[in-house]
Amino acid sequence: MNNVNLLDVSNLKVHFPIYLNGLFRKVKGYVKAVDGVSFSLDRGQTLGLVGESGSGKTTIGRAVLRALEPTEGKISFTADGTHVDLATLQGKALKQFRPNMQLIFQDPYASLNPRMTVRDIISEPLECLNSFSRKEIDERVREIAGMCRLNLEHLRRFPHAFSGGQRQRICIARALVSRPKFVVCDESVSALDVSIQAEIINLLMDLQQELHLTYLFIAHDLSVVAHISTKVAVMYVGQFAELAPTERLFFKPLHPYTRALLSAVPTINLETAFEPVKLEGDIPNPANPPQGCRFHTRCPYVSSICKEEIPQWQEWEAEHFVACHRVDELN
Amino acid sequence: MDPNLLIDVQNLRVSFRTDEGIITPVEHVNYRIKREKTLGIVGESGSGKSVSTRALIKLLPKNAIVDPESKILFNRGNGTEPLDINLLPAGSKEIRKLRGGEIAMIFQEPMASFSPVYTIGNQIMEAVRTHRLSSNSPLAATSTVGTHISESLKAKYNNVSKKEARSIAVDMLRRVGIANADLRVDQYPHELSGGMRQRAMIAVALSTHPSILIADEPTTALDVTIQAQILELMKELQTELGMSIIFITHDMGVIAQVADEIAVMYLGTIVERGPKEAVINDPLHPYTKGILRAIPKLNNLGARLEAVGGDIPGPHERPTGCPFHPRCPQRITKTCDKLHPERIEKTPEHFVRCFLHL
Repeated sequence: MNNVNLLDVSNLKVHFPIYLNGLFRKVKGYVKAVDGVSFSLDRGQTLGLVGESGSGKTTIGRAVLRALEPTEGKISFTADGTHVDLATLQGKALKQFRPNMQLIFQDPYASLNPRMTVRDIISEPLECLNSFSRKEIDERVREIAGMCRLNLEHLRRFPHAFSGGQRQRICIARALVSRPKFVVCDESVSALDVSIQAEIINLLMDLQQELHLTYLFIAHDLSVVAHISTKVAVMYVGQFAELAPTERLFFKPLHPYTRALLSAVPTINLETAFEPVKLEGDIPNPANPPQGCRFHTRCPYVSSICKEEIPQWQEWEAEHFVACHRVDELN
Repeated sequence: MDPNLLIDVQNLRVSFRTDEGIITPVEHVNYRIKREKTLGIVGESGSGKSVSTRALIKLLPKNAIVDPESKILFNRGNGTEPLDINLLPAGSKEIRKLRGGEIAMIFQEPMASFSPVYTIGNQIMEAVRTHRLSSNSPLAATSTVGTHISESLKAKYNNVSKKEARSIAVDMLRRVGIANADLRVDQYPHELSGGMRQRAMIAVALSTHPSILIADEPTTALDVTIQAQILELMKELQTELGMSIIFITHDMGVIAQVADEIAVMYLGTIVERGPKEAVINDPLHPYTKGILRAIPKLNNLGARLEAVGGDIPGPHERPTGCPFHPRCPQRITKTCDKLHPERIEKTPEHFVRCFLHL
């Protein structure tokens, strides 16, 4: 089962139009939230997506799930031996395909309906499919609840009776009840306290083993991403700066932005000095990204070519992609 | 009182009247802050980090009751008697002078703590004109608080002129690293980016030259690269202005980088407090050990994390005895669930509340 390609995204673009006020609502520009992103993911792998707020991490997740219409690009998804291009799938075919992919949200307090019992919450994805009997639904809810360490007693209660960690387990059960192959975890552990967070990360990793899941794991906490991911992509203003297997990315980063990002993470290790690479200024606005390399406004190694030409997305070493003009000089 | 101490909180206990009865989110809290040092308070949500520091400036909601036995001693130095903030009535002139003046505070969400209808400059000027004496005032040299000076005298000399306040505002914005400060001063909060807003918030807080800054999760809403900028800025300004900082956060990594002393809170009590190195390299309390182990580390990729078992109890289901005992792997039956552990000084300045260390 290993090394079976599940997802192949190429040149994905998601642009949101900005309208002028007035009668005809003329389009005056686009927010290029995701602007030409490519990656592939095998079954059972986890791609970690890191980057600062507004860099387009969530937009990628939503576009792949087709909660958003991609502007351009291909999203080819292989399930049970058949290929589909998710970017063009429409209507009934898309609806039938949806159980294959699910989303786990960030805030377990906001993403559970307070007026539904836990059983109803978990079973809703199945009810939507209209193809299961009540008995089958009950069985599957119980099975998945058990896997997510919820007991049968819990199923009759309402969300308010649960703590943050338990609520997140309910969210995970809801996402997995339709037996998806691909799950997007959008900041799924960020709202949790450290002592609870570790437990949820362990649960996600156990479920991945048991159910052979593939994750797209979006988070801003780099150490969490490092822990759970097989490979990691670093995003900056709608584009990938670097994509590499986890250990390579964390121990041999190539892109100046990746290095700055890694150096800025405060650690509990007191022996090594905390010396973050100083990045001047703020993150550019994706409606008006800088010319050339998007990082050039803050890059400590900026040269004249960076300001004019867009760097190539190149495979610098096997599996290690980077977009930087000066990667050869700097490494 | 030791002249090196700025604030000494003794036996702080805060309760809230709620519809379901009285809850006590903060109990048996003792901490002290040395001059020009940083105390980091770390704890999970609902552990009472914010409540226990907001009590310092009486910024608690109306239904809060601070135990009258609790002491919050504020040592102004220069030979004066320490002031017990807990004895001051919440709306009194004295507390209003302290709040924002000698004790400043910055909050987590910079957008929520600025007024959207006034310019940044306006909001810095307001703080300056409320709390600072004019540089040409004859009183400026003697005292910034001037409790002993008659009201009429103060009204005559106290106020910083608008022009002077504006130049202070521009200067402060420049000092926190905002480019084009003379332009930014006339902009509204929504025109600034998140990192810039937090810098402006720091400018407001520091414009009154406080002796202590309470920073309540100041970088939680920011990205790591911006967080690194803000942490460095705070360190710089601390040495420049010689103030103390109480830094509240839930991030162990941040606390390890900024604090001189760490206090770990769990369910309303400080379970462990000591110098940074001692708490991180040689933790005593099972809870501190637990959270330090639960943090994913780069040198141990892919391994299972050691989670602290169980869930954090809600405010109404507070356990008896040691608050951590239902989750503690080393609990002693019939002791930990019955008795509240006393504070033990294990090594000098390193305190723990745990029966394992008796």
